[in-house]
Amino acid sequence: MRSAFQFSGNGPNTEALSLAPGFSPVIKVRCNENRFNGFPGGEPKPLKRLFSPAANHTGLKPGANEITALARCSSVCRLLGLIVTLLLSSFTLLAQQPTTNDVRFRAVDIYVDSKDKPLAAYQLEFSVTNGNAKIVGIEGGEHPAFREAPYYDPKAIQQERVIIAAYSTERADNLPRGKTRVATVHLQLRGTMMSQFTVNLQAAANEVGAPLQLEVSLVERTPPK
Amino acid sequence: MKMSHRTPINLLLSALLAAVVSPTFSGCKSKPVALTALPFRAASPAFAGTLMAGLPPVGSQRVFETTAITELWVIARSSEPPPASDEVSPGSGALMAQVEEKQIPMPLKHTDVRASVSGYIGSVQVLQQFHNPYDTKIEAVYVFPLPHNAAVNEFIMTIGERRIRGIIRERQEAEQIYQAAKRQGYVASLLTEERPNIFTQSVANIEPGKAIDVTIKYFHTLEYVDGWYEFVFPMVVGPRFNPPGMTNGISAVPLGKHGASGQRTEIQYLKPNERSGHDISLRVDVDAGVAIEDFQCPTHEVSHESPSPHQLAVTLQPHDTLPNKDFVLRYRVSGESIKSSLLTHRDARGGYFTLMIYPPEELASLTRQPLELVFVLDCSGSMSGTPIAQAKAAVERGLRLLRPGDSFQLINFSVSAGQLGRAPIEATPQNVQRGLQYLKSLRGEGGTMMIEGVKAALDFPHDPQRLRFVCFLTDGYIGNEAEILGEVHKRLGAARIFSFGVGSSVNRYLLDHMAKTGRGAVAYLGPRDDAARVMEDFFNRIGHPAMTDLQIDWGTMRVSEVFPRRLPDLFPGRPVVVTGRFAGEAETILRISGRAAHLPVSLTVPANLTPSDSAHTGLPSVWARLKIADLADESTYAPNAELPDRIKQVALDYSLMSAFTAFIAVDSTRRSEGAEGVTMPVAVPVPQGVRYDTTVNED
Repeated sequence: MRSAFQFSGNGPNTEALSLAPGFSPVIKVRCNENRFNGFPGGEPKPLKRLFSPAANHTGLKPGANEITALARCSSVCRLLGLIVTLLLSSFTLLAQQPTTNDVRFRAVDIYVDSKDKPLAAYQLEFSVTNGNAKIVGIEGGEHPAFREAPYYDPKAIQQERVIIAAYSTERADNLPRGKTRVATVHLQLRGTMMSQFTVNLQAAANEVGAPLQLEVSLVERTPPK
Repeated sequence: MKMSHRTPINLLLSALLAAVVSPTFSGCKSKPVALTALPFRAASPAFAGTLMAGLPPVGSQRVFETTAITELWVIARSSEPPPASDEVSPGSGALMAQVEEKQIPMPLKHTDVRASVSGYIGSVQVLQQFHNPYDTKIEAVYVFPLPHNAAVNEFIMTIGERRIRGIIRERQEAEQIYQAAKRQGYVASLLTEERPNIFTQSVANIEPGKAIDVTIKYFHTLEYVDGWYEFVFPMVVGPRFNPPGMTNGISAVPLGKHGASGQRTEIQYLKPNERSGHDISLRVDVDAGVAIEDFQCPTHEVSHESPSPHQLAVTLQPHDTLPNKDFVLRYRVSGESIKSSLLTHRDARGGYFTLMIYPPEELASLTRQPLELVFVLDCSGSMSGTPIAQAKAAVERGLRLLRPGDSFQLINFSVSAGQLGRAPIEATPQNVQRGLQYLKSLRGEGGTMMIEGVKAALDFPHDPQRLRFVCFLTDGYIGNEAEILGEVHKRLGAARIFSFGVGSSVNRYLLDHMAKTGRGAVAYLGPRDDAARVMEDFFNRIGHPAMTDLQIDWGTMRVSEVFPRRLPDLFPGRPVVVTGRFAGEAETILRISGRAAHLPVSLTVPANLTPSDSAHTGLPSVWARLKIADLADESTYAPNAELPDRIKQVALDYSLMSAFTAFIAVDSTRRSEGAEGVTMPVAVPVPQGVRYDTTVNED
């Protein structure tokens, strides 16, 4: 398992980016400001032209700058070399960058920590905040009192949010204390963006219905091989 | 490698790579893999010869040797065809066979059903236990029935101790998620709806020797028929006939002939001497709220206990666990206790109610008008044998119960329709004898062009002096239900339709909806039922006028979205159930008024709408299921591009199965080894009383 994480974007110009999904995210900042004066820039600078056939720009009459057979051969070789380079670079980019159609599955564990108090009921909201993940299953927790798969709100899940609630009528001795995994959310992720999730505790209670203060955390599991 | 930008260079590259790197790139599926059964209870000698047909053996797999099976066939057939009524009478047969059963290993091992009935709302949990008895990874696909009014709202996949709750999603989206998970080796399950009463369960990547359970939960309302509440659990889908040109039908194919029919949904059937090892256990707990006077289970052997006078627990006996017919449990409560009643439920979404209106007793003292009775018999191949014998026995009794002044017509259909005469004839003793002779000549064979029967039954001028009642006697084994219901709606006119489901596992969705669309009622005639008595009950029902033109004054109860939208007639012995949403918290009186034999009739129902602790938590799901059914019905007679979206939204909001939604569950914590598994459809027995040879196309 990886360590717990919880993060979100820093502003409208940021987005989570990962070339190796599932590992540390890199924050990509869109720098479209003028590098000389710091003011917001206009249109992005056009890409440099890669290839300019010299023969088209000599200004000489046809026939005046005819090239030798060797030179012609050299030119053809250069052209072939360029095509090969383009093909290879295209191949390399495709191989390195998962496309937006890239589909993978991940599991995120939801933990709550009730310290030394018995946990009898909870309700929390888990959200996918960057929109490239779909919830494909909700699993029950590790403690027998919360092993049943928790219920979810069907309206919330249409926005990729789950409001999960569960309770147990067991005696205090049979309820979990301390840090325990109460649910696992199974997700389908698409594209290259690192997924972002949040979790908010809405309510929790002990065995007599008294409110509890809990610490809630998320842990994304290491992708299976 | 995945390509997203299909530039010419990329296309060139992909073609190059396809040719060099992957021989399966250009549309080839994974290499065919033969399956071998792992050690299995009563290991199958027949397995090698059936499941593996068409699959080349690979490597050093273990294959069970086929042993000789002793079969003794005693065939008695006279040179002349036997009289129709003697074709096959219930319990007898011209073909007698002593056949040793072959055990066929299947991915579905066991089904466990736990039902709880409170009042007239049932809550049912169905556990399907899948396993992999082969030595390679599989995908199990099981087509199975549920009641057509089942509001399926829970789906849980269990792997060992872990339980994963499925998520309701738009069907296409769920299917895409399932396919992606399957390709990548994740255990996943998908539940889709093919018809309101037919579902497909797919479980991907079951590894050899492993087991995966799937639990489905649903609510439904019980039928109330002639003093009995009826709980039904269907166990097998009957073989359907699809008219030529249809591709989204439900088809019947032999074991191992996957894809043979060209229909979207296929069911593989076991031969009469084959068994899959799949069995079923079932328990129903009833809390009627009032004393239970009597109960009966006409279909299965059961044991029972009664913890209190108003409670009943019924359990299927261990020796009657072959899932090849509907389970039917009927119970009768104390006569004095049956009154029209209102159940309510409130939650954050608002109030929901269901109102059961029982016919007033005075209907029984009124006499009926003359009838124009049209009997329509399904004489297709699936009715051959016991079903048609039962249907003919029922019609025979019906003809003898006609009164002077009535008229009748007999229509039969299979690949085409035939009829006794050009128009209904007077019910004189001579004409009744003519009808009986015609009835005797009918046999079950050929396809089921029900549309011809519908046209023949409804497309002739109405006699204004008589009430036209059309009785369809069929197993309903067709794949074009929507077309039939649309035609019934279009051609009904002043007629009323009474449908009789004949057989052990009939298409209740079609039969119920024909009766509902035809503003009549439905009855079921099982192989063990007394056909004459079922027809007598029907005549008792129509022997008194129905309460028509029903209207409800809701008092201070503010109702909305009430289903059915058009209130049906109220026949003696047949209550009407109305379900809707409401607001208001005061006590009030509901007044139901109508006419019977041209006389005004009314009844009242007290309604206590004050919030209370008594909750009928299934009511919102039941209401939402009715709304979906209402929209689906509308699409059969008034197609509208918006209807699918409206159905989908209701289903998503209430977490319900529909034609446009599906449940998906993926275990993303572990990937199974190897490539995609081999798809293994779960073959099922043909329903009891249905002949394999006349319904399953071996070609």
